[in-house]
Amino acid sequence: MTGPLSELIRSKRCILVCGGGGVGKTTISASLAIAAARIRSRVLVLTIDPSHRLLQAFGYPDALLHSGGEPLELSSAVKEALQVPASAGLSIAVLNPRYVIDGIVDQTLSPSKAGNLRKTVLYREMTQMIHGLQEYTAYEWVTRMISEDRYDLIVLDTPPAFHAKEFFNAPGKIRNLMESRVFQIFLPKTGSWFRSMISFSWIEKLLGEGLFRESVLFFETFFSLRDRILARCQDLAAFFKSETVGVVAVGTPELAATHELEGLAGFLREKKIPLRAIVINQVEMPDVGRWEEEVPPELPSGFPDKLKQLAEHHQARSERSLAVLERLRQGYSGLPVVAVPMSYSADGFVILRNNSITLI
Amino acid sequence: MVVDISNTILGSLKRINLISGKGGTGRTTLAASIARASAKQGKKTLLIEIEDDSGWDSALARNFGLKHFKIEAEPLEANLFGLCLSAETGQEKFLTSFLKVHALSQMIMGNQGVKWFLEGAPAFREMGYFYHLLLQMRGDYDRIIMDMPATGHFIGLARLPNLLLKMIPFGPIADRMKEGQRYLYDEEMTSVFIATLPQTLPISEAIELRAEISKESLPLGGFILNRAPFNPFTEAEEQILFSLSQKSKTQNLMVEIERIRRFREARNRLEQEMKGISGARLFVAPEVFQPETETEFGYRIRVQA
Repeated sequence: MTGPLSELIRSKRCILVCGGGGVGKTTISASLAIAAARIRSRVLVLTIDPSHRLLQAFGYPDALLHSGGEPLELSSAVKEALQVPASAGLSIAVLNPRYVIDGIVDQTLSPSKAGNLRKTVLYREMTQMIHGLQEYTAYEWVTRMISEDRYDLIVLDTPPAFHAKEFFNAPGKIRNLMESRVFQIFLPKTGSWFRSMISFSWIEKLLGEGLFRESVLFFETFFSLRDRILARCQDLAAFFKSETVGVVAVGTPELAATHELEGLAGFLREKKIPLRAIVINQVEMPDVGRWEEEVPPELPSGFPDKLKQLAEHHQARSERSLAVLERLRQGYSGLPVVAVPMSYSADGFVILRNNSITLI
Repeated sequence: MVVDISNTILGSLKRINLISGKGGTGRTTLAASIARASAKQGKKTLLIEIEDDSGWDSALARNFGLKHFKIEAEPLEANLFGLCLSAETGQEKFLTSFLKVHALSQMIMGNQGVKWFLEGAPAFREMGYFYHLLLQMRGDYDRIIMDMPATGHFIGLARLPNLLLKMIPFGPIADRMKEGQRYLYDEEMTSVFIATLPQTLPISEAIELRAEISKESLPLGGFILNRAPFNPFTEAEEQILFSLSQKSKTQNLMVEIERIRRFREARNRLEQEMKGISGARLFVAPEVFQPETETEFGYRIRVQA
């Protein structure tokens, strides 16, 4: 255990696993957490709602999906299958952004206000409609866990996004929204000068009475959360850059994924957020063994030829895959670039176990 | 019914075609290839993407050697036009249609407070996109192909008409939403295609996305199963192949055989899923290795005469 990632899982409080869609962030996050659980005592892997099917495939209990984001300690049977000592603390949580928002609303607002806010359609659609809110809830949750010191290490599988870097832009977007005058338009007292500037009546006429009333209620109540959310957003910029956090970018050896990865790395450099390692997932490994030795004698005619074609096809595939990996290694010579082989095991535990060894 | 995408997806296109799918499924490249092939048939085709405020170059425009598409349709190739939906453009154009005076709507849109409002408030961005799209649907294109990522934001766009009509059943916004519904919810007019990959999780996500799309009553054109692996075997031979993989010692063969097995499994799951959806088909796009240069990026779809 001397690899580049072993240092990270030993020393950090939080590892952010980020990358484009379909590169296997959730698998890599879980694998890192498993590796970490073997050397640290309280490890949590946190993933966001949409990935729950993958968790089910790995044998995590259904109960998690309805737990409202409360972490669940893995059973000793699951730990055994993952080759994690039964004494090790390895938990998993599936974050549902709605629960987090509900929690903030309940803590901050009076019960009647909270109830009114929840009744609006805007509120129900909010996590989908407000950019960055999903990501924000992940921070909110992780920072709370860190401040309560419940875990030594949290591995955060960042939510799927259009672009990998949206995760880091989220606090800025939320801050802009909270600071914007949009709230003042709807606030009865503070915004009077501003209201007069953009005649209220046409907004009402344009939006219709229903949407207008909803908006007023929504913004009025949501505004009371402003101070709290702004303060938290402020902390986040520092959080990304702090020594407690390690950012790991995941990609695959495909052209589109490589573009995405390079964009992310450039963005992080620009924002002065240190990138600690790059993981290239689904690398096609070259030949091991000889296919000819495997061909049973009683095959239909033409079959061995087709097998040969298949073997050659794989060889070409793996050469391309390794060439991309090599290019990335040269391009990021200062950074560890860790290759994780493509796994075609049908058993999710085998994949996680293998990855947890390869990664560190 | 399983068909080779290169021959038949063009025949299944409607006037409005939304190419959807999760990140990493090759959706954008497919949208570009389909639009290009459609234009080559002589159909006046508009290829649409949704703006992206990340400041990155557009992956769709890259297929045509461009950094971005513009907010007004621009010619890309013969019969082919590209356009980027912009929330602000849609909002401004809508306001103009409502106020009847362009200068007035420009003045309002120029107000910083209004800008913040429209950028930040939930649903208003989507409303802008929706109206901008509506304007294109009113145009004289034979076919519109839209690259439509399946992130929450874009699901929001599909859900918008139903959502808004619940809140505002009457008035100018409601009228536009109803007009949009007439285009988008008519199966003679519109098809949604879901791009996916022959792996367990992407198939589950595609099936989930399909449920979401039907909930909004958008008509499903079918699934596009992308990156079908190299497979020289007949279906009967596949069975021998799969039994081989159980005892294979060589990783290269095992990985490729497993790839074929997963493709078969994915195909079966999607076929099962499509039972009872009239008009929906399964299209298979073969795996093509991406060349090195960006301009040659991606797949090519042959057009049959």
